Amino acid sequence: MKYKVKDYATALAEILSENKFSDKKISQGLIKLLERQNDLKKSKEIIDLAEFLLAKKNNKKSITFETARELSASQRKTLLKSTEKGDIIKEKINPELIAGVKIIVDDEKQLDQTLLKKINKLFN
Amino acid sequence: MSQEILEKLKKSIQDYKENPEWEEVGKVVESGDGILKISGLSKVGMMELLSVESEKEQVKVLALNLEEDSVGGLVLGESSHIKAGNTVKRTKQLLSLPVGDQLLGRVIDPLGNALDGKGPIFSAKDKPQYNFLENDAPNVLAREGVNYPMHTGIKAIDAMIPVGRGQRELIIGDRGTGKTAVALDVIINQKEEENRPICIYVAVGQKESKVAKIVQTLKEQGALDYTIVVSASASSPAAYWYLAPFAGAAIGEYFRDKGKDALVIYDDLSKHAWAYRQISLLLRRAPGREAYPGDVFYLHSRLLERSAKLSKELGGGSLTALPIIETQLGDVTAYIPTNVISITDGQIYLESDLFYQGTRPAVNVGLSVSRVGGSAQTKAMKKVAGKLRLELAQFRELQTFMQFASDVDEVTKARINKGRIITEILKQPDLQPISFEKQVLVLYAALNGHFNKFQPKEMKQIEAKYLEYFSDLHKDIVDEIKSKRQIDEKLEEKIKEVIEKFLAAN
Repeated sequence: MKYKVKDYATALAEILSENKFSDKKISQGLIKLLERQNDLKKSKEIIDLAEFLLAKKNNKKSITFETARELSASQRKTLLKSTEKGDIIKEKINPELIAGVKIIVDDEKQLDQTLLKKINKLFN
Repeated sequence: MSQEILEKLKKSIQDYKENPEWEEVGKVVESGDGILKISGLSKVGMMELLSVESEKEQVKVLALNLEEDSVGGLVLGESSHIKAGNTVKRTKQLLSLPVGDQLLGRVIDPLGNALDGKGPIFSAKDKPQYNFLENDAPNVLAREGVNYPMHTGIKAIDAMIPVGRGQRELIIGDRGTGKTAVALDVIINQKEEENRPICIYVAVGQKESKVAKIVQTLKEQGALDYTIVVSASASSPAAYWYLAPFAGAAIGEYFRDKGKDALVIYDDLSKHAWAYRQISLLLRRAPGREAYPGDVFYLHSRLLERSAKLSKELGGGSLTALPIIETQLGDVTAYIPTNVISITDGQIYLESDLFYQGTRPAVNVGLSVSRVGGSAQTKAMKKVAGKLRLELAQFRELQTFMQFASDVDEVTKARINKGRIITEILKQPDLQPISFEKQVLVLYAALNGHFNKFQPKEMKQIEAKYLEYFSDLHKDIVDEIKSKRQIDEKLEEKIKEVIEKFLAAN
């Protein structure tokens, strides 16, 4: 039987939240399972989704800061002020944004404060 | 000019106001065949417009499938730029298009963009109304009975299958039986009509060349000034085919709600159903009979239910619908034809055999019916054409009997001749609709046996001469029928006298 990414991720998130087994044992088991199911190429997608589900279960957020250049230490500190302990923080570099920052929360909400958006708004 | 551009840009920059706000977003998971699977957007509404930020441009998407963890979207534009991972934003707007009198004489796509190269439809000063493509049909209290005729200019239809304003009359037949020709005649005939209705011609999946020809014909006949053409051509995506009839209805509703009369022709709903089937299958909705989705009936019923004659309190406007259905080998019992037959208030059935025999328009009188149009027919036409259907039926019976009989008496011969004359009278070339008052005069003479002395093959010339005789020498009678819309005894006497004079001279 073929499983969907969501099925793997939900199972992984549940097993991780139970805290019954060591991380090493869980990761070994997952790799073996994916190997057997010929789904190893989905592993990154599964882990990302499991991480997201786990955070959601613990009332934590998955926050992505998308910027044109790498954040400086002071910028990172400012941005992290608005986050909580346990939130999953990701940084993404996208030079097309030109300047500013785009904050994406739980892949569902977005605050776009980039120069690209401002220029688009100005000329469209 | 360059200074103007500079000033405009400077003003835009100066007036820019920063308005930071959280937006609801999702991500494209799958893209293909004009359909997107989107993750996130858990609060999106059905038929809500979404915006995909593809690499090159922002593409509009219509939310059609709301599932537990994803949204199925229909791309309304170029889908080749969209890739998995692109951000999708909510717009919190339902799909709508700008409507107004400025649309008259224009050719547009289902989203309201001009296709005729005549430039933008609305100027910067115009504030067009935006009408939803999907809209509720008027309720029972908002309606009143169909009571005013929508003259088609086609004798066979106006006499036997009358259509009223606010009615839904299906035009059904195989390919090449003259369905579009009937629809065009109806549009052209409105030119001289009282309270001229606005006509909307919706072309679904038709060749661009055919649409261009139709537009040219309407222009040549002087009918484009009061007509709007909504085109979703054969090369446009299925999404446009699906939306075109709804766009036509939305435009029609604008005029209807303003108290005017509007006529919308959906050419054709078979292709519309094909497009909906394609979209539904790509969205992985469960297929039903002939692979159509379960809600294909509702698709057409909610579209056609928007046609209505509104009550006087609501302005008394009307929206008449003439949907067209193409049958395969005359099979009216297929899924979509039976659906639309049951939704509409009657049908005009065009038959291939009649068409190839030379009876054009090839209306099969036996299978055609108008369920509500009778109450909208003028008294004059009712009086004249009341017995036409019966006369024709009797003639056909006699004609069948004749095939077996070798010797026929004079009375039967005369009746057959009369039947042939009536059949000839009902033939009518393309693009030559006749006003109802002239139809009344011709049918009066034919049904009362005044043309019996002529041969059926002469009828084309005789009819032309007869109408010319009335128009040139007795225009007062034609005008009286037009204004009074009925024939009283006095007028009937006058008509008889003129017919006698005409017969004496010919």
